[in-house]
Amino acid sequence: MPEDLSPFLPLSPAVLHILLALAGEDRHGYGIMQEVARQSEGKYKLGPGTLYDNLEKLMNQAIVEEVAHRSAQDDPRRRYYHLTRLGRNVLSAEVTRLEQVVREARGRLRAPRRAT
Amino acid sequence: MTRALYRCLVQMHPAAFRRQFAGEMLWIFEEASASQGMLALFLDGLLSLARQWLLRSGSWKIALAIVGGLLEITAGGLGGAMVSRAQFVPLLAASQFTGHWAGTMRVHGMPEPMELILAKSGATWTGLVRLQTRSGSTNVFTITGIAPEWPSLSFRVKIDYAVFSFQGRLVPRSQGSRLQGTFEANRARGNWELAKREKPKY
Repeated sequence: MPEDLSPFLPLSPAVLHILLALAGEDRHGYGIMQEVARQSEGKYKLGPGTLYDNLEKLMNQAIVEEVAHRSAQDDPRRRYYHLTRLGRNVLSAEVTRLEQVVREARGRLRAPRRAT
Repeated sequence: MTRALYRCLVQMHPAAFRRQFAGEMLWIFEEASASQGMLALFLDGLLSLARQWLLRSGSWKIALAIVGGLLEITAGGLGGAMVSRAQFVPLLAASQFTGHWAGTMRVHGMPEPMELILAKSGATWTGLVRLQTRSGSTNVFTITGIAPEWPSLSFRVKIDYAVFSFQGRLVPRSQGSRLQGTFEANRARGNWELAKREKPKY
């Protein structure tokens, strides 16, 4: 039976960016912030408060999980986060939803305007 | 100086959040203050503080429950009927009742500490579920639709995005006086088992 992911959707912009940043690889908090800034070409900057507030919620929902440190050289304060299978499915469902929104929007914008 | 101020801001967050993320937040503050700007980081910290206390911690719900309880006591008086007939009849007949159980709730096989608090004042049942999350924070959720027909019990509770329906029963004293049951939501299904934390008062 397919998972019902509708309770998670739609994702807030902060959550969408966090999940996108983790989709490629596991990252620490600052790494997520830098990746979000890179993906949005600097237009969306995530602060640490917003980041960890959302990470806490995502970990409680088992969408993101913490994983072990990668190397002994890492700053011990750095903790790495990983997108779970559920998280990947949620992100995929959100992308599908956004594609439908974009398709609908393009169709409406292409349609000739009626005079009012 | 600014680091000390930011540390104060982080320290004002709920304890569970602080334990988990304070070190990283301070580290990021040191790394990002040049690129993001102090003011933006402080504003972000203040917003996070407000969200944590107002939305995530559930403290306001406890405060509201206490205020509501005090109002009910003031309005209804402190007296409670002391009836003792069959094992469960007193719970239905009493005008005041509080029960507190603690145990685990299993979602997808993962045990999570859970507490259930039920109270009755007059004909009105109220209740709270406290869930300790894997990150260590405790969330409090208000129960609705409490239908005790002892030894059966059912209620609903909204947790984040899902409404959980609980169906359970009180296991007889000879088998440990536990509350056992199942819960169902649109995206989760599991079991709960709670032991009586203290003798119910009525």
